[in-house]
Amino acid sequence: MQAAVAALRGVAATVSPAAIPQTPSVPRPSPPSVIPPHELNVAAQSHGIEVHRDKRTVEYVGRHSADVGAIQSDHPACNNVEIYYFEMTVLEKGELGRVAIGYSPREFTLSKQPGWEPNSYGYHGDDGKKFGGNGKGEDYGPKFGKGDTVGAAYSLSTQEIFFTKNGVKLRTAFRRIRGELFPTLGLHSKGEVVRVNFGQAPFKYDIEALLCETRAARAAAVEKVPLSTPLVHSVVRQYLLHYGYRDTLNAFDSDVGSLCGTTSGNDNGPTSMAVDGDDAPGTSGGSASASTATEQQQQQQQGGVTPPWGAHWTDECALGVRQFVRQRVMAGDVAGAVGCIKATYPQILEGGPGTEVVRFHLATQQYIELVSAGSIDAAVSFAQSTLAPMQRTLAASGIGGMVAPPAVASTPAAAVPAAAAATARVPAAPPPVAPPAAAQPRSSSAAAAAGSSGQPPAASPTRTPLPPHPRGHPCHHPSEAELRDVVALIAYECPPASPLAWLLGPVQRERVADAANAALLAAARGLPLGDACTSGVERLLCQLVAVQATRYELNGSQGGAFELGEHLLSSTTNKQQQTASPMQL
Amino acid sequence: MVGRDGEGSLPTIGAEAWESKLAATPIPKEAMNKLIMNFLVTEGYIEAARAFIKESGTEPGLDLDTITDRMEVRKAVQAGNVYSAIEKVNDMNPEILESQEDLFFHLQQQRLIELIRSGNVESALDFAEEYLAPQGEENPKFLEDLERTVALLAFEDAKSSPVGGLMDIAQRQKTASELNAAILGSQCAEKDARLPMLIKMLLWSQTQLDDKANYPHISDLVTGQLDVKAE
Repeated sequence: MQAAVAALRGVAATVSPAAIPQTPSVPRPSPPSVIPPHELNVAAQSHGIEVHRDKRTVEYVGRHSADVGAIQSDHPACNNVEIYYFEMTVLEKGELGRVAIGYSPREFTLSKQPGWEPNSYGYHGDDGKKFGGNGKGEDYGPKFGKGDTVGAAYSLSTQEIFFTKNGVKLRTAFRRIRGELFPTLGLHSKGEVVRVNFGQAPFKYDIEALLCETRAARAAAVEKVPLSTPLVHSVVRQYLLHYGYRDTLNAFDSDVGSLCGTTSGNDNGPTSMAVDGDDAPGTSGGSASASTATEQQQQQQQGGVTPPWGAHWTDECALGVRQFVRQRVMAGDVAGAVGCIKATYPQILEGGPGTEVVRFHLATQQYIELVSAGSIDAAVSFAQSTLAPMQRTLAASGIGGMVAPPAVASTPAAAVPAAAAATARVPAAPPPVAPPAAAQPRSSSAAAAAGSSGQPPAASPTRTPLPPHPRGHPCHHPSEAELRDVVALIAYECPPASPLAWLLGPVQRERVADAANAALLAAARGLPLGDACTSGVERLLCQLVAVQATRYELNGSQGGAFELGEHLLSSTTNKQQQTASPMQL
Repeated sequence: MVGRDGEGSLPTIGAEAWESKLAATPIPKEAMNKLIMNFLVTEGYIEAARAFIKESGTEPGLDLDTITDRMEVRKAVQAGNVYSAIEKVNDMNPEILESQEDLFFHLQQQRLIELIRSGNVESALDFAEEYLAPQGEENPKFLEDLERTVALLAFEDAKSSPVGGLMDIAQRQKTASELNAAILGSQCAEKDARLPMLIKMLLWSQTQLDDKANYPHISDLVTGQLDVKAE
């Protein structure tokens, strides 16, 4: 018996943390995989120039009639920043002062000045001209020579290149610049010496200030977008209605009404909702304030101010039921929730198409609550009666997207049908030993059960496209592997201390509540039960991410990428966050 | 899917391709709950915030009692009881008004407006002379505002005068918002709720992308449904 217990425990222990689905978090900004330029690339330098030991100072030692001595940085300009910038100081002018700064592609001929070859760009000190890929220079800026520090900026977000001299920004030199470019220096007469700065020392030109200014300008542009307060209120209400937060909704209506409705004696809808001075109608003011008087009367409100939106919106359906069900689930009383659904929208529980998700969640949650409460016998019999058939359905339909650790595959999968065989053998064991005792027969009969259940424990080949919703999303279609994880909970004597502890928390309950809510919403609206169930707020945020991602792609996938996570709230309260990296827009 | 640009016409992204882009980034429920809570708390809808804590388990992120005080102040201004609001704010934190001249001036200006509204011409003039004129002398911008406000007295029907806008409820709300933001600032809380900013960002970025591509928009911010194109 000890061996069997140990065996099962050992198996359970292989449910590694990797198998635990993380709460889908908004993807964090990945650390820049791009290595910034650090020093000059001495491996590929032309004749005629000599790089000093610091790998940043370079000197022309050849004869003038010899080739240009150009050299690039060791790595290309980072492409994941808004603007890449570097500087060069002219230490010695040499005979002719033909020094140049700019950018060039990887395959650049290092015997030419930057800007003389296609795809390269340069600003030349002897004549102050810019060269954009052909031999023809154009007037651009002042000449520069000994003692001057010039800078070259590659603005990836705007696809431009500009230069600076001694801390002063010159105008944009080149536009519609894309792709990988290397910071490049050029020298062409004896005695010229320059030193490059890739950020190791402070820059002469305050590039940070420019970046801050640009970001501030963008933030101001966003701030100016007209968005009426009533519209924001409608968005919030939609959210509360969608998820069934009825008390919050009522309190919200009452709070809003008391804050702004006191002065005017009338309560006719939109006019009394104008809360703030910034009353400019929102761009979608059409739908929000288009509600006619009759529509407002038709909508039966929970009391308080009539919300200003159109009658096409009917999410109040089943609000009371949804609130109740959510509340029961969050309190751990899944049975109560199920009872309510049976009494109101029984079709959800009857196993028709589109009900797999919600039935899975309700059933597994009921099981989890039983295990969590220590009612192991009840949990086992529930597993036999309800989870086992579910497992067979899932296995048969071949939906098993997640790969569970193979060691776990055999035992818990067979555990459910095996439990049926096992109950007969479980003696009346003293309570503390109950879990291992229940576990023991399971493991020993695993082999027998494997034959009797007739189900291969491994995941069957998956069908074509899995639903896009990840685990944790209420519309996510469950897999057999997830069911196995849930069932495995019983193997632990102390579930809260196990690797599956996350199943016991409020986050899991919320998933179930959201799934039930989605099904009830669909049922109340008369829609197919498996339909999409996203709230307006979620759609807005997804759209924001999609639009920004598209902008980034169309820009050549360079420049700072938009990270939604930067704009959401972290768990550290509403306190002002000292953002080290300013907002990326 | 996305065509090359620079050929004169914009690339078009079809509905199906767009839908899979939308599905690519799931938004965690918890994050959305936080946005809603942040909105309720920043705007001062306390009862709603309290109910939301219970119904969703979301933390309010700041002490709800500080909201009560802040909302009392806001309500007072919006009801026209500016003096009462000033007293309350000074009780909460005297530094707020001490350190913000503009704000204090606007509050005094609002008091003047309320006096004018009540028809008490003499008191209004006395008040203007004693309290607002000194500030106006120091700062020409204040002087201009002061003159505009006093001008209300010159008209029989102040509301329809050129400076009638000062009599609107919206003016009270503007002052109330300014004061609300200052209090939030003093509590080191962000003065703007994130949700409206994110919605504005969506609208703005759609406009930016319009220059570069054809793609499905969202115009109905309440339901978030994609616009149906009339082909």
